[in-house]
Amino acid sequence: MTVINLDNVSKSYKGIQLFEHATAAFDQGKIHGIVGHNGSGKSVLFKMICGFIHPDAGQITIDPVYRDKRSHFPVNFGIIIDRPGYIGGITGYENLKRLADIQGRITPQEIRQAMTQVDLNPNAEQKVKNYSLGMKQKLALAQAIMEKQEVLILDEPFNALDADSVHSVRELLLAFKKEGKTILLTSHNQEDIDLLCDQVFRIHRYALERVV
Amino acid sequence: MKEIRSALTFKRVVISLIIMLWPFVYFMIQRNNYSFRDRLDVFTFMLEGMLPLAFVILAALVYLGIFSGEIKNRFIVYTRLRIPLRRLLRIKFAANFLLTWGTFFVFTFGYFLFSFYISSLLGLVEYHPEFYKLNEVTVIQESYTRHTFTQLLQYGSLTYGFLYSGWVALNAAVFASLGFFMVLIMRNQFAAISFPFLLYILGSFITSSADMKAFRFPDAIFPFSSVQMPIWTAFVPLAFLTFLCTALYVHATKNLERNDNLA
Repeated sequence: MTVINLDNVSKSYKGIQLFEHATAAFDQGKIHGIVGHNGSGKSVLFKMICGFIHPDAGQITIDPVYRDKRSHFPVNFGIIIDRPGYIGGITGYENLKRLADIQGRITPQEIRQAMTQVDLNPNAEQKVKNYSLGMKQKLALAQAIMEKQEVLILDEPFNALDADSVHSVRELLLAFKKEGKTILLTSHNQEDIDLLCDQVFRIHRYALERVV
Repeated sequence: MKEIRSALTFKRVVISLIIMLWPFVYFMIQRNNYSFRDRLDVFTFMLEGMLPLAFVILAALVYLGIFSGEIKNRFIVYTRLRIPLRRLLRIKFAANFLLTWGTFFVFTFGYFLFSFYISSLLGLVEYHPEFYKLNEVTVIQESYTRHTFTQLLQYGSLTYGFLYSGWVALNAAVFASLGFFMVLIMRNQFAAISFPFLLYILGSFITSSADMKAFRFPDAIFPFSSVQMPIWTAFVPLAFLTFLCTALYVHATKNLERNDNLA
């Protein structure tokens, strides 16, 4: 079953043409890798899928299961786009609590569990502004998975992670795949792509070329 | 309410109280060096000095720093799939407006209560209307025509205190709203937060140069250094600010998708 479908999508962003009649389908329960050189449009693609920006032409269709009549944005999507987002003056747990409180779907215990899953200590008093880049990245991952999101859109999820963390995040993503979650990710590390992805798309000449 | 509650941290409340206490400390040090006609004189003494200059900076400090941090560190982006953006921005706007209004109302009304009731109860100040060739009766009549807004004293001290405090708070909230939209629109967050202050200074300079002193922002909000004007004159700068806010609101909402701060 296709979760996200791109049909003849064209998009220029800040005066640069990034996509021209790009077409691709992302199926449920698979890990999809998106590769391309810097500035090729990976983040813009993810922003379009999330509804943050719209294609100039063509259509992006999201499975109705992940749509809500009241919202322009997909539901049950967990995202990391560009770089982690946080409030610097409070702890990691408090950051996630603020986000979780918006919808009120999960308990504090589930927030703690998500932090533990990405090797962050939920009881740490350390403020996020004092986190290392890798810890901020883990916090971003925790917010993307804490509400048991079914579709994960992860832009460079392994950025700044140490070798052990890379290993455990890979394991986590493979476990999510087994649970039937759909994952789209980008990585500059070919090993991540090779180990994790069932399908790989390369952004080349403004199109999404299926390479695996 | 949740947004307001989360902004009211212990540290932030304590810092606000310390800043708010500054006019009181200054009054306690200086009170014997001045001759006050009446309670109104004590009140205006409290609000003069540094406050008219720092007014917009203080208004921006109430909430804009929090909002700006959330934009700068991309926290807002991660709220977008959890709540419609326009709704979130409405909540943030309301939090900014209400917190700023509330803070300045408490500040101004607190000093009003202190000047009009508490200071005389505690015997902290002696009034000398005779220095101004007034007596205890004529000073009351004179106070009605002393400054803009003191016309309201005819309807009772509390009416004046309440409405004037609301007026100061409203101006603070509108300046903070202006900063809110600039933070939303501009990439450079420092410049965005500084914009209301620059407008306040530049606007005051232009209106002074054009011989329209009554319409200067500081004179409209803290009208203690000039003769009484009709109250409507104070609303002219506010109307200008409100128009500017509306224009920025329209611009910000029309260009939400192109806004790099939010994607």
